[in-house]
Amino acid sequence: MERISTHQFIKLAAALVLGQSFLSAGSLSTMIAGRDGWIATFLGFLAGIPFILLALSISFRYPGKNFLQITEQVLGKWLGKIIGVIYILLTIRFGTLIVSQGVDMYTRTVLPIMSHYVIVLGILLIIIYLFYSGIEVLGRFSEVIYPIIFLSLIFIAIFIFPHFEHGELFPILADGLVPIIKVSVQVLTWPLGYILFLAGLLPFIPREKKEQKKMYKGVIRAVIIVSILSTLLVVVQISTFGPFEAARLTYGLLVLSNMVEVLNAISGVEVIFTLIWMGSIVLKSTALIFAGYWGIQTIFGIKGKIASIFLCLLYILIPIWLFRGSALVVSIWEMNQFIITPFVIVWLLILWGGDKWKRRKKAA
Amino acid sequence: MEKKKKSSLKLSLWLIILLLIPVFLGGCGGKKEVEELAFIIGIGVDVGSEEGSYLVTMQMAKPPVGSESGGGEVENFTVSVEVERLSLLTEKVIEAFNKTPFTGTVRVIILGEELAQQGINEVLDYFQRFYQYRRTIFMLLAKGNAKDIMENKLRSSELPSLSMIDILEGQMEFNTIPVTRLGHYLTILGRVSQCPLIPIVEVIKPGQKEIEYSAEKGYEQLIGDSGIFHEGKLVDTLNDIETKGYLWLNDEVSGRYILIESDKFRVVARVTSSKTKYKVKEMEEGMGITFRIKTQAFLSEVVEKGEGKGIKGIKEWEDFVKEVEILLREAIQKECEEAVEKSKDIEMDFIGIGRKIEMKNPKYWKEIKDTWPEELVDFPVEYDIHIDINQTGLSRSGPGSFNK
Amino acid sequence: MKNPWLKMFKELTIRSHVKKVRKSPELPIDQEWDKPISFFEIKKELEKSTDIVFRRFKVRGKEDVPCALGVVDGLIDKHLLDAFVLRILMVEGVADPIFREINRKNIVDMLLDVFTPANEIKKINTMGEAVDAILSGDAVLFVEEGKEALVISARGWETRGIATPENEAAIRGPKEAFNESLRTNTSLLRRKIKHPSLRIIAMKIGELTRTDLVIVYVEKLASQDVVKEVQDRLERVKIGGLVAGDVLEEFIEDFPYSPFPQVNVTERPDIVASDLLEGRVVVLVDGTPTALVVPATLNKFMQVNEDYYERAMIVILVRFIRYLGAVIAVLAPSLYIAITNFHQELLPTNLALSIAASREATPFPALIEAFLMLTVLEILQEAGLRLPKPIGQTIGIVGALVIGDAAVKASLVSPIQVIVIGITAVSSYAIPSYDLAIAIRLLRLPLMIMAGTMGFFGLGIGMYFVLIHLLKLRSFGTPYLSPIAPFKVRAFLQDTFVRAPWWALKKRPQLIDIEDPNSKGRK
Repeated sequence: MERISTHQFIKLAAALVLGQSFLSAGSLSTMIAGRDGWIATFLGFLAGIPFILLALSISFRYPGKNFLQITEQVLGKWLGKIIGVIYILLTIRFGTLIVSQGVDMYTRTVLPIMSHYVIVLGILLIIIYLFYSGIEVLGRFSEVIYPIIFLSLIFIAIFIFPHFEHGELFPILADGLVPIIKVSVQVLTWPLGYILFLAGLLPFIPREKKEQKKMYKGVIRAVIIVSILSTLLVVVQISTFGPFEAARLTYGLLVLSNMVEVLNAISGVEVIFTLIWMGSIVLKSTALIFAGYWGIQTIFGIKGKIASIFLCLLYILIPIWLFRGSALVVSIWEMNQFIITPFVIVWLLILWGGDKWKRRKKAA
Repeated sequence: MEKKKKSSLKLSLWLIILLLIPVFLGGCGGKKEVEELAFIIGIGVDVGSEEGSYLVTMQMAKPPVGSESGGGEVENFTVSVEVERLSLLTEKVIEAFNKTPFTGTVRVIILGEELAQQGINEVLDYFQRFYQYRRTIFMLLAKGNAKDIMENKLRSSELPSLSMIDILEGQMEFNTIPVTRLGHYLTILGRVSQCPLIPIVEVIKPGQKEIEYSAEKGYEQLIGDSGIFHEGKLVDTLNDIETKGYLWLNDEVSGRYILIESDKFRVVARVTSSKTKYKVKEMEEGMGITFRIKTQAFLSEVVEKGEGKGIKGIKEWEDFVKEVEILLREAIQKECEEAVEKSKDIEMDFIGIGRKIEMKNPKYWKEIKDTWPEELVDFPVEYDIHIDINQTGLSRSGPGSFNK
Repeated sequence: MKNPWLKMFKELTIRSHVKKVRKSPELPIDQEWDKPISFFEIKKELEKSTDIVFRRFKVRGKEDVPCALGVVDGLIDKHLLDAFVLRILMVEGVADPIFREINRKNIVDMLLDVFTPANEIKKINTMGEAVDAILSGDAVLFVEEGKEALVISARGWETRGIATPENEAAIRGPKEAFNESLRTNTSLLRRKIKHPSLRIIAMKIGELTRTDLVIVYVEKLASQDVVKEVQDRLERVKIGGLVAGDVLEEFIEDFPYSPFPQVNVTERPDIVASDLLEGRVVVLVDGTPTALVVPATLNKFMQVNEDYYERAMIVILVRFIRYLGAVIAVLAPSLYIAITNFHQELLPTNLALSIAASREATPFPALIEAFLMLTVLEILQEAGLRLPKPIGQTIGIVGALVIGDAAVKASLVSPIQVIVIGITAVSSYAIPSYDLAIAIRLLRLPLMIMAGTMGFFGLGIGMYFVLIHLLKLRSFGTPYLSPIAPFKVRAFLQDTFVRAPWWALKKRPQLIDIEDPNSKGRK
């Protein structure tokens, strides 16, 4: 059985919570919260911590089992199967949407006339290769890619500094707390999306007591770092564009990277950033393929090979057939808000309640 | 173990085949060799001859044919095309020229005066939508037609656009004109209360604007003053002093030369750094704004006149410098006042006072928001200027002053 | 298996060589291998080669015992045998009263215990052992009608002296290199590590060549799993002739179809010794002046021994340059193609103009141009590699004149392209390991094609592909990109891109699995 180390687990968590969210976070958070979008982003990510910890703590009570198996054990076979099917469909749709977002990122900017299926196949090539290389390699991939993504984002923040507009962040909290809370709830979906992957990953993480403590701490630290990073990026976008412009741009960060000029000589480096960010898209959608793969194996008991081929085909075909760049950001947003957030929260709470109730019954 | 290895190998075979499919079927989209491109440096937009059309001037740099070194010199290659919308530009040009215009190198947009009066926001949509145009592109307002300015033959035979870019980038040390980039313009546009400024570029004949030169080889161009835009339309222009006042108030000054004159002396002070802060607070006439400018400067020229000529002692110099400081303060304040005066005159908030109120006192801003530009007329503005003259150059008094 | 492709790839699996053993010619003696010694049969078989000599003589003890000394001429030290075997047995010993007690029955033991003053001697009793001993250069003392024989070690053949390393030049550090003699090589290691924990295990590989080899490791430092795995893999090697130890590399590596080297090959004993002390396992083969070191990780190929002899501050710079060189060597041509064909906005305007000007008159697209230049470069490299030194300079002149100058003057290629390819070539020489440099040369071409068809996107796909491949690779259980991924803090900070000063290297690196990582003192 393959295993990932605690360090890889934490890096994976950080990379997946960050995911591709940084691409559209600026636009989506300033749309409602305006100048205070960054506060909302910060709070939204932090709010994900308790959910992730809850998921981990449930799983530690059932070592070696993934969430679907735990669900079947706690809530009974049929409810477990129903949740499992929803889970599989969700991961497939979400994963393919993320692939489409990668394609969208390219076609909107550096490769406007490249046919989109070429980009889909190109990205999928990497994703499938990574998927077939196994979960260990995914862990190592995140160890390599996450620091690079992190540095690329910091690099943008530093080099965009000369283009900051004066005092765009102020006044703080002019419109009160309501829009901030609204946006925070929306931002919460990114850490919750990570739980989708975590649900399947659980059998592969270390089981020792000592490591569990490390994992709790590591995940908290990872999410905090990611929330600080995302907040920084939203701050940078608001300070550069102003809230109105930031809300208007589809991928604010791409425009930012477009503006980076190093010593007046090197400009137009957005293509390099798109390459780096492709890594995060690959990482996230591969993670979701894994999630779907484990889901199919658990729920239907299909052999690994068939399930994987089936999944890979879906991942290739859905982005090619259903690609619509103009509506993409909206559909991802709707998917996040109206499906993933409620699904994960309800699932976690039911599981937690069921587990508690069962324990009490046992004790009695 | 062995079995697993086999399957992974087979997989890599399939992957490679899968990889080759996109490469050979769909690749090459957007491929263009670098020598097939004409690099556009600047784009000028004027009103076209027909209703709703534009006369677009593209200034392209062309490498001189047959040069082996390829270095430095470029040939000017400027074309004007009349199109209904700006995006149609490339299509039109490609019919007539053997090279594809490449917009990734555009650094400056020049807007014709007539177009500016009709409104420029529609034009800008194209520039902010296509990824190759950066938000760091400079914007300039042409005095007259943009086409004339771009077709002007400079004495240095440099491309006018390149020369404009150099002028704007040279602003780092001395700030006499506001530098407006596309992104900055769009951001200001987002603040409803503020009117963006765009600096004006014009061709000057010998003798104009106090500049003399020989016009044998061509004419010089000059960037100065600025136009005020309201809802995308040019409504008024600021003269030199008002523009400088705007720069002081918006903390965009880091270097300047300022002439100070009194009945005793004539001094030029060079500002080396300056910082502007502001405060919105209750004043005698109600809520008002205070600009607090902290400036460091040194004396670059001292000419004494009248009686009491020849200041000798070091102690005397200290008094003299203090006197200069007071006068310098007045000079700066005058520039600022001119700008505010203009702003009140035309009821346009190009200084961004409204935005400054919003930052410092959002509650009060909400009250006056709806009546803002009109409210400006009797909005009290105060100045609190600190000058620090930290050195007077290598010598103290002027040459020959000891003789007397 | 109907699909011929699949069939082919099935055959190309990792251990297919285990199944297919090349048949060696069978001699009559091969069937007698395990039987008791019969001198006459051995003589009959071996006498056919003229270099094998049998000196027959009689030991005149209680009775005359006919004996024979079998040696390979040229492999033994004749002087030694004459002085300490023949002279004693035939002349000097006869005077000894004990010598008179020798008879047919006790002769072997008597000779072993008393009358053969050689320091390495042992009793054998099978045909195979005897033949092996003779052919390996030992002298075998037969009792003609007996069933036992004595192997006397009197090896003495011509060897090259210990020379300075030719391919791994260094300014500081020891200047000795391995040579073709296995014993010399092990002695070089033993002289560096004088501790009982240095283990040297002997093996023989090759049906015909019967080549000696040793596995060297330090007990308690090297992981037992790795040692066992090396032993297992070597035992599985079935090969007729092992002429050079380098052949083994292909047999024991984990991923034979990866361009990346997975076994470290070096000719310097100091490198091997420090590798041993890091817990690696070394294979030395007789007749080969290089050592194979496993497990190998990617960053090991980017390090040289001098990194540890120079001061740490200098090493930081030097390593940075080396990694930079590697990156440029992989990417420079494809970056140039991608930028000039797809993403011209990356170029500063002046540079774009001068590239455009220089390319104006050239006939080929950038991809073909780069392809041509690289081909010529590769040919030049290959041609220069094997030329005698005096002619080697010609290649340089031809290369510089024809490729550099004339091609540009004739407008065949653009000067920028020449610069790009030149930088690529120079950078690839900054990679210390020749094996890795070749791997990088292999990667360059596909990356160029990807960049030429899909620009940066294609280049990115290619790079990610290589990255995932590297992440997947393992060398004897150690992930190839260790300590970057899986991330090992100490190893990463102390000895990967930078090297911490020696006094800070208190613990052993975590590059590979070792038994006792906390033992103090790194080397």
